[in-house]
Amino acid sequence: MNTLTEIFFSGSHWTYVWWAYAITFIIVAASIIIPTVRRKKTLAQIKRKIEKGQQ
Amino acid sequence: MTPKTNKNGLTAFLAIIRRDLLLAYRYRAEVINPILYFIIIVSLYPLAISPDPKVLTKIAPGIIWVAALLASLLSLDNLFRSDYEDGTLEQMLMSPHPTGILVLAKIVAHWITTGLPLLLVAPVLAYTLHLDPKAYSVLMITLIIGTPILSFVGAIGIALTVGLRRGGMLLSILVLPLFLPILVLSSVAIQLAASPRPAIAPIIPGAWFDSVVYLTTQAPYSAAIYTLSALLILAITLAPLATAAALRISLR
Amino acid sequence: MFSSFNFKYFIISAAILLLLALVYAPHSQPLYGDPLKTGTQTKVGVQTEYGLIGTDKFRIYKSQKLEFKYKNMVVTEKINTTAPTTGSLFLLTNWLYQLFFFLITAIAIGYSKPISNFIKKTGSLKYTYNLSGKFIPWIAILALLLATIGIVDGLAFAPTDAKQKDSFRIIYIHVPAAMLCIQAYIVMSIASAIALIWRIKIAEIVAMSIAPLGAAITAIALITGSLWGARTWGTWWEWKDPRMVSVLILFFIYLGIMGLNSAIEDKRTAASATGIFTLSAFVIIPFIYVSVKMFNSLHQGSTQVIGSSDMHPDMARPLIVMFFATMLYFTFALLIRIRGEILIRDRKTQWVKDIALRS
Repeated sequence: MNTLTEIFFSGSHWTYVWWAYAITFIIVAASIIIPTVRRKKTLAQIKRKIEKGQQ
Repeated sequence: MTPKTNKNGLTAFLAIIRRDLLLAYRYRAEVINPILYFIIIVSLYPLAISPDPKVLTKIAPGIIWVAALLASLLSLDNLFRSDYEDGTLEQMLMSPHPTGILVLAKIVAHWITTGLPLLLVAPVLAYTLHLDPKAYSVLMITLIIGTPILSFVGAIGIALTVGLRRGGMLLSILVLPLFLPILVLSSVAIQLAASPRPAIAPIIPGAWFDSVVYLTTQAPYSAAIYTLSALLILAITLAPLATAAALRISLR
Repeated sequence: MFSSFNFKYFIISAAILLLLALVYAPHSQPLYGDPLKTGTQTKVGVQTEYGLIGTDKFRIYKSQKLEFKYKNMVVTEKINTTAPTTGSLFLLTNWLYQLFFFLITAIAIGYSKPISNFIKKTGSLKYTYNLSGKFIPWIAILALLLATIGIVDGLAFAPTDAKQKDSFRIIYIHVPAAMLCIQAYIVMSIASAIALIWRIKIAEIVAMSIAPLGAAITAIALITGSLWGARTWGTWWEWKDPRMVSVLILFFIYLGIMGLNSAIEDKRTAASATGIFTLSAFVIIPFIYVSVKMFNSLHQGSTQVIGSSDMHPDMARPLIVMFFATMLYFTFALLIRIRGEILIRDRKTQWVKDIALRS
């Protein structure tokens, strides 16, 4: 916990670098995960509809 | 509308302008409302920020431009709305004339009824805001060049949102970012004109040509005015085409 | 001979190659402005340190020696700058040359059967879905690999900057993101133009998928720029800076495009409407380029990275790697979005049902 505080809140040059990289990582990860999950959901929805139609 | 046998684009252009001006004359309140809105927005600033003349002198260009921008945005809503509701717009799109020319006529008529009155009121309001006397000429030049751009660019946005039920807020979100460069350029030009650095040539009736040459080529704000003029030419040539295409899509 | 020439594919490939030129030109020579060599080699005593980028205050168009005192040390700064006029002329000829080269390539593609056939096939949603499915893992692996190399190299091995100390390491995400957010808009405009002219479905999907991605990348550029500015300029946000404000406008435009897209029910109408708005709002792109030259600003001009560069080679290497990594990431994220959109559009067809049943 102490090291985390040091990395993100000590106010040195590196602090800003870590913040920038962390925020970028979050946005990049979100931009990949959200469409993947949405695609999976679409596929599941189509599958459910087909199975409903067959019954 | 014009009869189908008459395929002259100019005739259609003039006919639409005449019709829209006549409509504006019949419904005079529609013309007066944007001006009232403009005046009220301008009067909000001294009350909200500071009645101090020094402060007002500094922020006057920005106030007038923000107010002009909001007034033209508000009045844009009437550009195609009534025609869309009574079906005139569909007839216009089906007419043999190029839609771009008809749209151009509508925008020009709209600017005459809403933009021109703003130009007449603006110097009076600038006087109440203690605008630097050196900056009046540039204020008027930026308004003359800038308000048509606002109408042309706004027409694209209104054509895209005319068929939507909750188009009002979306129109602002679409169009305001495009208005920002115009706002920035104009207020920068006015501020440069008001700054004590350059010697500003007053507009002398006898030497008006020299004044115009100075204003357009040597003054420190001429770069901003160049850019605004370039944007105006771009808007006049391309915006009617984009608006026509957008109208076709909206009415599909 | 002329009967075999496919005009449609010629136009499409010309557009794509023009895009490549736009993507490539800023890397080889700055497309906008003059190739300034701003004062960067700072000599402190005997030790030689490489500075990253000069500020506007050092724009002197000739070789000049500056001496000033800094903390009891005599600092000698040598500033070599080339005259801007020759640079601009050179850039213009270079740009025309590239245009000519790409035009000839486009004509060749217009004649070539296999490439025309490939472009024709990508018009089919099923083909694009399957092909991109094959490519995606490789693109992802390559992007991840390059990003890892670039970030580790940039954070651990690049030398510390003389003026900005370690905070300059933000450059390795800020500059690629800032470039990409503009290039994404250019790609989106070209896709919108293709969609509006020929009403090709896949172009509509590409244009619609770029908007949220572009907004995300613009957000990255703005946030990292703000962090960088907080350290080096001492302010998080500066309204006086035209580059910041114009990129903020670009962000608003991306959001506006997303809003318009979601406001219209019918997907094809929405794509056409957003296409027109995208092309109209393209005016902002030149503004972003010229904004720094146009107004006095805090923002530094761009430094030449490839070729005769003022940057230390160890500093420039990670940046070049990160350029490629971000481009691959963009392709990857875009393809994922396109695949999702294709499934939604084609949900009533048999091939999508087959895929759904297999999943």
